[in-house]
Amino acid sequence: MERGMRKSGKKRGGSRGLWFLAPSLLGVGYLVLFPTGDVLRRSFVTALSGQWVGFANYRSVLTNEAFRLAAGNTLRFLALCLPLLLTGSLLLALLICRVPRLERFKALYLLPMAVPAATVVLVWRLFFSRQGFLNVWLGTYVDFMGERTALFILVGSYVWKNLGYTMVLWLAGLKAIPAEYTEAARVDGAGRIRCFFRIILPNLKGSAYTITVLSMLNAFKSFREAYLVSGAYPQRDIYLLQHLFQNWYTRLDMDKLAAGAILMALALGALSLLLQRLWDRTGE
Amino acid sequence: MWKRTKKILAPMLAAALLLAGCGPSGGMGESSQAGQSVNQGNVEEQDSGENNQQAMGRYMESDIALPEDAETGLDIRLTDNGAEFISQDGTLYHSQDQGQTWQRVSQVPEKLRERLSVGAVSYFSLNQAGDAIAGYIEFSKDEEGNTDYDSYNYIHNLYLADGSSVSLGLTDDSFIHTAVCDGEGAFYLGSSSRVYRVNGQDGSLEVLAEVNRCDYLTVCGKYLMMQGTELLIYDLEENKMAEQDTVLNAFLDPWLGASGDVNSRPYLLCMPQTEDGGMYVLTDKGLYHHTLYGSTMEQLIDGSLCSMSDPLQGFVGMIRLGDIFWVLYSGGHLKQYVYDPSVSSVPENIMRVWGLYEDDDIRRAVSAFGQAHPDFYITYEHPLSEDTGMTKEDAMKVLSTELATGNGPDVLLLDGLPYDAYVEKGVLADLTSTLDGTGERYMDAVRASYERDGGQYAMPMSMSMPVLMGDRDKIQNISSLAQLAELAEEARASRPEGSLFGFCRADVALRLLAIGSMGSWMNESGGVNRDAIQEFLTFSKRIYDAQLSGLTAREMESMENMQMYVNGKLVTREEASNQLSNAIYFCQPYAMGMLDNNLSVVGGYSTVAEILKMQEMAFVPMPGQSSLKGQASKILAVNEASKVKEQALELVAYALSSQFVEDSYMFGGSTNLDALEAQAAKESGEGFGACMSFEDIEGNSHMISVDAPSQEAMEALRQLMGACQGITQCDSRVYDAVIEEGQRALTGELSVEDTVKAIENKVALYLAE
Repeated sequence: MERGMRKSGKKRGGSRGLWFLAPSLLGVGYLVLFPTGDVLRRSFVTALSGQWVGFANYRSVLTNEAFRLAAGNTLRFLALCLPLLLTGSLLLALLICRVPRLERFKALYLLPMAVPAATVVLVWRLFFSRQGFLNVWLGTYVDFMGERTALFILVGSYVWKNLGYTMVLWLAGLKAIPAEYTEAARVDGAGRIRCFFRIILPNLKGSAYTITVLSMLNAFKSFREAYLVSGAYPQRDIYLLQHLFQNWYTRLDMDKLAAGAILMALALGALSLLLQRLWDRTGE
Repeated sequence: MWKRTKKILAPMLAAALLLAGCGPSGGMGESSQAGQSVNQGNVEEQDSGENNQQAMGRYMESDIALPEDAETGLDIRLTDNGAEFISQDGTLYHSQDQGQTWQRVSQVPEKLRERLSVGAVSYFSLNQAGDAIAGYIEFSKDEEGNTDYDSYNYIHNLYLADGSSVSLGLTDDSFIHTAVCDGEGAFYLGSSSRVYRVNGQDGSLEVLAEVNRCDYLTVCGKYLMMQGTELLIYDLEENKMAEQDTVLNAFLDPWLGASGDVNSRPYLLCMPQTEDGGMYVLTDKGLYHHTLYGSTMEQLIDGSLCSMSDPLQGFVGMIRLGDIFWVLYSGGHLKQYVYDPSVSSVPENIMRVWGLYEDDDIRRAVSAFGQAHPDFYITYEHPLSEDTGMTKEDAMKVLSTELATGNGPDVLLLDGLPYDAYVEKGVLADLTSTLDGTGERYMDAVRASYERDGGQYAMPMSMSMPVLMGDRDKIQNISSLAQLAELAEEARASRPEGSLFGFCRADVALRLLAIGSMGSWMNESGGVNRDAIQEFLTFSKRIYDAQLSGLTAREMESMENMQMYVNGKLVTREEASNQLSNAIYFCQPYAMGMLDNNLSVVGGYSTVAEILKMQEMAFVPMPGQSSLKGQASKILAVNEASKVKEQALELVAYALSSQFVEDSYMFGGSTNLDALEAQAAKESGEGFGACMSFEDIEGNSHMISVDAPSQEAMEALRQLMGACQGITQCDSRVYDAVIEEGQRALTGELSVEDTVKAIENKVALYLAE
């Protein structure tokens, strides 16, 4: 009898929990799951007439030269940005940890994040246009945003903008590591480098995963700057997936857009899972 | 107990919350909308008793017949026992029966009447005593009795009702723009620097105010409104400048500084005697009520629902007769606006017309169609013409969203929009049966250019053909860019100094030369035609070099000064009439431009034919790679998903009809062949009757009298239009890339081969998508 009562109590608790969850589930369902499902549906039908075309849209996207270029550029951009940002910000965080006075200016490190994209673009133009400061200093007449240098400007801009923020995230992770660990290792004769690789880095594993995923998502926001500087068709190397998606949208290519978006979501999901698996394996 | 209470209360509370957010559709939303309408106009609400509230009441427009002898008017005004109308020749009529009959009251002196009837008067006003004031230019005559246009006097006279006249002692060098009278018989004159008061009995002058500019004057009760780039108010009782009305100034800001012709205005102010400080402001947006120095502008009539929004109609005068408004328009239409409480405040049926940029002809078609369909509320949206800061991409994204959700505009103006993409996606309705059903003849080649898979999904209202103009013997055998380049080099050899074609900038040269070639820059598979672009740039460079090698510094400076910029971007005026006026100015042997078949407007074919005759020139299709194709504009299409598709198709058919071309004096040539023939018949009967003056770089004047084109000129036009093989459909991105990068080839910054590579690179991403 007692057992039975417990069981029914559990059941009631479960359904009560569902009621509490219902508002947020409704929100998530309406704002996330339903649109995602709709995009998935659209990726199998024609743009406006809604006729079933199977995987034709995916074939069309995968054979599209612009998509391949944009996907390649996006990957290349991520491959350049993420290591630079993660290592750079971690080194700076370690430096600040060693010089506690610098921690007072923590808020300042977040300032680049607060600079509006339009202002960043204005600075780019001042520096990198044909009539910009850089050309004046170098005595050249080059449109740096129209040449292959555009990619490095975009990468530099991304790193500059996110460095302080990522560093603050690393700092939080570093602060969470008990000082006794490193002190004990030091007593046992471990050097700084050994301490870093054996004590600090393994303890940063949890933070590192979050920071990497956040940085990756932030990297996609760099499109704003690229778009504001060069419009819908920038220099080839900074032609990103968002450029392509936007142009497709403008021309009502919703079918290709939906297929492209699903492919991109799959790639990002796979990348996140891969990272997670990698982290888990490192932990083992 | 508490638990049980909670059990009861919780669902009740949840239900209450749910219901609070899901009220009846006619609740908050409708009532606030109605409230807004009440603020905007004299709109009442009728409650049907079933919670089905709809804002009711609006001013309905109807025509009032003018006096039989009058075609247009110069003013209307209120009298103690009716209304007065002043016709175009200064005759005063009076009506005591709401405009049903008119009695002639008086006439101005014969000499003034003649000048008024041909519009040769700079300003005119007639007071209630019958005295008139007018100003005009009187040209001198030479010994043989011919008019000497270089020598003239400015006449300012007061014509008294007793038949005598007094010359005003005006020493002001500036031009008098406007005249008005008050209820006491005094006149007021406005020039670009001063405002005068003229005694209506002896013509004595008094300077009221020094102003920067005065386009119009209006007497509003005891105030004189001086309208220039700002609205200044003069207190006629206190005899001093009054405080500015900041609300009125801010409201009128878009119109202040804009000027109409002598007899019409882009906006009107009116203050009936019966209202204490209340005045009416009439603009193309509608009629507004404002209390002088008050804080609100209350909309009484929505301009988009009546003739007020018609860009062809300027405002001449307005009066209020009780609750009825009369508005006199420049086209000779006198309309009355009567409040009808039984109709809904806004027509229930809504039709949306959408284009990237505003077009006056579309605006006119929308306005005329709306007047014929009072049950429709037709909106015309043009995001890039408004000061919204929106880019073309932004506007297209908004449009894409609307089209994708099935809420797109009903009628689309496809200029600058991707026609083929929309056809492919099934966005556009087939116009074939609509066009066939009108019984009118459209240019077959133009129709064929918009046919896709057996249907026609768009039709341009207007088209023009690229032409080369010059000595007939020299140009008649020129049919390719290579021959044009040879012609340019030969012309330069025989004329070492002076302009040949009317350009000094590489981008302008490319734009002009491209009109006959851009149709060939893309191949059938949608890629760039490398060879065609290379050939185009090669010959363009030769022509450009020939032109620049003999240009004088003075000519270059003049050409630079004549460039027109809109929003910082260079605008090339490719119209043939504009290029010919440049040819006259620079004494050029050749010109190239776009020629249309419009006979009814200044700058149309009538003007071109007359200039060609004066210059002893002829025209041939522009030599180039696609010379026999025309350029289209005002391309109309209907949204397949439109909820009012039938009416949208009707609007498109009306805009394409010869009736519309005739009624509206459409700018640009029509694709309707019946419209061309109707114009030809009309012009040969009535004649165009305009006089135009051109000046060359040496300051010599050239006058032409524009009349209906000769039979020979009409035949040449028909041949040109008949030779049209279709519409050039060059992708705008490819065109922009060729113009932008091509300049580097012309100026020698890059070789032609490298320029072509740069062009290919520039459009590669776009084409790959």
